[in-house]
Amino acid sequence: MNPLPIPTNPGAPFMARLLRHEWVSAKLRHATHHRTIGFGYLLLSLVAVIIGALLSLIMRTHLAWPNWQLPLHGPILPEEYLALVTMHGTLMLFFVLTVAPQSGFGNLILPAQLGTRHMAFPRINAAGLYLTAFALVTLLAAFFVPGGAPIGGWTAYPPLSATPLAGPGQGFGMDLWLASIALFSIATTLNAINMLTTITNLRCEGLTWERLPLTVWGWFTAALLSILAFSVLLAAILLLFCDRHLHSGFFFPAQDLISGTLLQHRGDGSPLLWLHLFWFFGHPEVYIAILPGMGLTSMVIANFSRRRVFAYRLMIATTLLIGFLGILVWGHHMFVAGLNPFAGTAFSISTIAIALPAAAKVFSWLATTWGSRPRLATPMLFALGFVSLFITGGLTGPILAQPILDEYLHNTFFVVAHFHLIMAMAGVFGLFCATYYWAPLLFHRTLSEPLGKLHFWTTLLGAYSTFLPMHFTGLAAEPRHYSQLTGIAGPSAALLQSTLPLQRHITASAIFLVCAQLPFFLNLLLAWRRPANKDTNPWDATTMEWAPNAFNPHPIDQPSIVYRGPSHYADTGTEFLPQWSPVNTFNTEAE
Amino acid sequence: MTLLQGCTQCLDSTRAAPPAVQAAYRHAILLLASAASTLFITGTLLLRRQR
Amino acid sequence: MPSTITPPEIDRHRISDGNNGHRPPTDKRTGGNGEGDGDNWNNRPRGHRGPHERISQARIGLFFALGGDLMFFVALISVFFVTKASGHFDAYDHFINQWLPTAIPSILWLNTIALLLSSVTAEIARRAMFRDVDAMDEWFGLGRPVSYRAALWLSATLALGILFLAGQWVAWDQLAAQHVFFRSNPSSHFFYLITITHAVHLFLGIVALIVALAALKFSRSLATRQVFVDTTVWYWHVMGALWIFLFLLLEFGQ
Repeated sequence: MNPLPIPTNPGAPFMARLLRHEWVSAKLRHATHHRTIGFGYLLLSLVAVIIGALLSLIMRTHLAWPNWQLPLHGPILPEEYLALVTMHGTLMLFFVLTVAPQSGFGNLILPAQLGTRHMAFPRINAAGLYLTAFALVTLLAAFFVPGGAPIGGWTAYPPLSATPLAGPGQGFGMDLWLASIALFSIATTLNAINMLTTITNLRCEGLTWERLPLTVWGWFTAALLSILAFSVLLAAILLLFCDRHLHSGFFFPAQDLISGTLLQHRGDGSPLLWLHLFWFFGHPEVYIAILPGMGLTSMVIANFSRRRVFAYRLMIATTLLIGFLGILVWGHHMFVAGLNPFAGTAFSISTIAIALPAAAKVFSWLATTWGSRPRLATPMLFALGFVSLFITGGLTGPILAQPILDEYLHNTFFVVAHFHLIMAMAGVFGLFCATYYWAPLLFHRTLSEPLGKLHFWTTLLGAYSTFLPMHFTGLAAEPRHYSQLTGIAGPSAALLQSTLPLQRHITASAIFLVCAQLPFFLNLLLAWRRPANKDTNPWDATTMEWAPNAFNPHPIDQPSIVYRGPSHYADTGTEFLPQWSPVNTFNTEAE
Repeated sequence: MTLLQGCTQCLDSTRAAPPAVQAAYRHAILLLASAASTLFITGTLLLRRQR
Repeated sequence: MPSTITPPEIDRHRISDGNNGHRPPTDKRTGGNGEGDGDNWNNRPRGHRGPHERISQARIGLFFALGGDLMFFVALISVFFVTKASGHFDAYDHFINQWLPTAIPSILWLNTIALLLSSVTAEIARRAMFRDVDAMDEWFGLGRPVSYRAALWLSATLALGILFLAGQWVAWDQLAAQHVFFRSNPSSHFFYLITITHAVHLFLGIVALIVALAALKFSRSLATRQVFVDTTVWYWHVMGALWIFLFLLLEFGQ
């Protein structure tokens, strides 16, 4: 049947006619397509990670050589050091570790893994991207306003964040920080709503609970945590804004002395209140950053070991349990902040309980690959690196979860070492794993193996060489947030002086670690120039994103169908059954 | 004087919260935690129920 | 619960009769009887399975959004209780609690009644959208009985909603006349915080009502009209229930 000519419709309003216009609708379709949005998110976090890494290099150089002059700037003043700390943390936590794994790779891969071709709410999804971009610009603008960037840390503890008296960046810079994070919270909530609805509603035929890839479970749990946590952060930011501009006193203790000014009659609030609200967000945030990486690690290790994931259902349960416990442990960030010891004990117990699902995950990763002669391609190496860093960083978790040990360690570099290994480095390894693993789908090209392996080994070496020694300087009582460790009077000077060689080693390693990323960018650049390869499933993967045509438009009468759970490899390791294959070429138990 | 800031004072006043205030904090902790865990479980069950 | 019986997007190929469905649809694939290709919605990919799927998708999205929103208010309420109990010791070791309950203007009772009524009218509109026989008529192109009735009741909801917001404005005005401002007292912080954040949410609901009314007027697909009305009304109900809770908290919880 010939398509009827589209009749003109004088009754339709102008906007509707405009939206139906071919060029406009094509542009809109492109702008709201999850692939465009996913790449947009990755681009944002690439910008953020480059700036964040440069800031950390400046900090490290200043710590090791306090008299060093930053070219075009001069010496680093203490308040500037604190601004660097704040912006490094904010950029990395929000705009890299939240954006890239969840919003970036989530948008790029999740729909294909569900066997669908679109997200539930494409326009809301696009709105999330633009809000995030706007939030990033707002945050970076804080560098250029009078007073400079905020100096209160990414946790913005009041009362120092609640008054411009507290320092140069705590005026307009802090306001910009609050605006940026409020926008970011809204954007992330929008993205999470879209992802949750997509996972709940748009799974293709046959994709039951037990057949969902663990990456999807990771994204689902992280998105669920996002809507719970970021809403509370938004409320906290609103209250802090009131304290700053509307003369309330939610977070001001009675009669506090700030920069020599006595703040009276500002209510009987307490900074502890902010800490509760902030860490109610902050701890789930850590799991938002790491859960997608955990899911990917499980899938990649199974893929390259050509084995089933060990204890698949238990892995689903542990993912959900880590998320669930993640919302009940926030108090362990506050042991030394004046928290009621009774509450401290309760939070300590729930925190140590997380070791159970986390250990179960580690055992599953090891059991999956144990004795399997895995193919050690770059994605597998990064997945194993993730496991290694997760164990190393995780082992210090139960130590810090005990109030009595945390009392000593909390304000030292020991904590810096802990969270950089388990969250930052493991998270980044998850991102590299995702990039190398999904490169054939993202760029239609595999990345170079020799360069990838060089990248992996140098990055692993750099990561351990940078962050392991921080445990020792921390145990030697090197404090966090101090811009300068020399020039202090008394016996502490001798103590800190003894850590200086180690400081210099850490700084050198950090520079090495950043330089180790050059092979990665070279790899991307070289892949760009190579012709596209046709092999759609180079890793013999089993999940739906590798199905032929997984990224092409869906024929209306040919829905995707899932026939089995992921990673069905024959015991011999030669054969495998992808989720989309209707034929059963070797015997597997029915699912 | 200016070197000391108000940090210790702030920490002291936080630690010296009277029992009634500490009880209010405990209730607030329970409220936040229970609301969030209920929503978490409901969201997960919704995923289950849809298929 | 009323069922969604509207057929799928029959104008898939963007063929329009230009008159909002007054002519019978040219594409008669109504789905469901399993003959021929693409006939049975259940054989289509997810996301292409007709109005029932669309509406459940919109409801699930709304559920998650409101879940986040609920946490926002739970956070505010937690701070409410903590601040209410907080105080300090003065120089003579007296425990000083600055909290002075804010007298709630009695117009809030009237506002609450208006909001309750608006929920009733909204529900009537929502149910009207799913009245089986009329919805079928409308889909066949026999006038738009469903949309007209829904638009009528939604307009009533809109008027009541605006009345509620105006009433809230009066309440703020009355308090200001008594020199009770945001900054006056910890309890007045919360009165304003809670009423204003709720008013912002209700304002969003009013925007949604206007969008739904526009959809009733301009959208060519009955399914789209149903989705807009259904989602808006559920949002409105939740905001109403939330207000009842917040109002009771302010009236009796201070």
